[in-house]
Amino acid sequence: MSEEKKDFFVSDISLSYQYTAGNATTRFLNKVAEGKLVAQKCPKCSAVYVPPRGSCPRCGVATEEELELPDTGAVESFTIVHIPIPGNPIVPPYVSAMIRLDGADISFLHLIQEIDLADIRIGMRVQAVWKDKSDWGTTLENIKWFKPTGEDDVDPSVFKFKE
Amino acid sequence: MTKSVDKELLRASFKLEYPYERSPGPVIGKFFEELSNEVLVGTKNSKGEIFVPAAEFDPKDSDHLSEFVEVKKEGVVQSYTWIEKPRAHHLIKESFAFALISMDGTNSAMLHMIANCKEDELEIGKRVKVVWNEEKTKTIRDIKYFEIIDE
Repeated sequence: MSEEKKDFFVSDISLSYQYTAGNATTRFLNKVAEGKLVAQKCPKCSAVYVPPRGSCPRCGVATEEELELPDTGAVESFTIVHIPIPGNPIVPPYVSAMIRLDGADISFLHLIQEIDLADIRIGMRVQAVWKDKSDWGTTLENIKWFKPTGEDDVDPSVFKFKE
Repeated sequence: MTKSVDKELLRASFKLEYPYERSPGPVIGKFFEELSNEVLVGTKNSKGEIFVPAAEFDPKDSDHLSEFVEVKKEGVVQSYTWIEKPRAHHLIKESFAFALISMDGTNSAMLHMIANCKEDELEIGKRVKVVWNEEKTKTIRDIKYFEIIDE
């Protein structure tokens, strides 16, 4: 970057839009607002999806059966982020990880904290750290991050999608 | 779609942004710098052709251009698009035109806006002049818009 900062200007490309969550995500987030992680199960292949999208992408059928999952799981994949992104309040380095909740067949992206970066690994057992209940809303940000439980690692072969 | 809906669907407003810093470089940089002094400059090639906004390279033979010349703040409409109802992101709130304007004595055209006129007053070949923004930011916005010259 130039030392002569005056030669640079900030470009202001932006796009404002409305996001509509849809039935499945609305139901999921309304439960998250109560501190519950509610998955949906495929009636055909019995795969469990969290967050649920209202249908099974493999079977192409609606997923209406709901089941509550625990807030514990394992690290399926992770990235240690060293580069700051403008507007992101999280100070690098931090860990972004795909978390596979116990009983789920897919994972979702969240943060892992309360960990030495050198220790993070695939298969590590983690548990959600929730915000204070008074701060809960219809958002996965109710979970501040996941932290290691100290239990034995799971075998990464469990992450294979069930046939 | 699932049949059951316990509450209304959740909705949220989002703003997707790509904040980044860019450098206009030495030639466009000079063009912007001079705009803040209410001066219009272009670059000149060896054949004496002048390009406004200042071009870093000759659009035909790709020669590097570094000779700056000041041009008049008046030009001619080459083509235009009338915006009857401006949308939220447009800088001008009343009807206006986006136009390619060839500044007098130049061999190029510049994209900008023409305001303070009715649609039927505007036509290709019409003479227009710069209206400056009071607040200068060393960007193309230092030209507020162009307006038709009364003749």
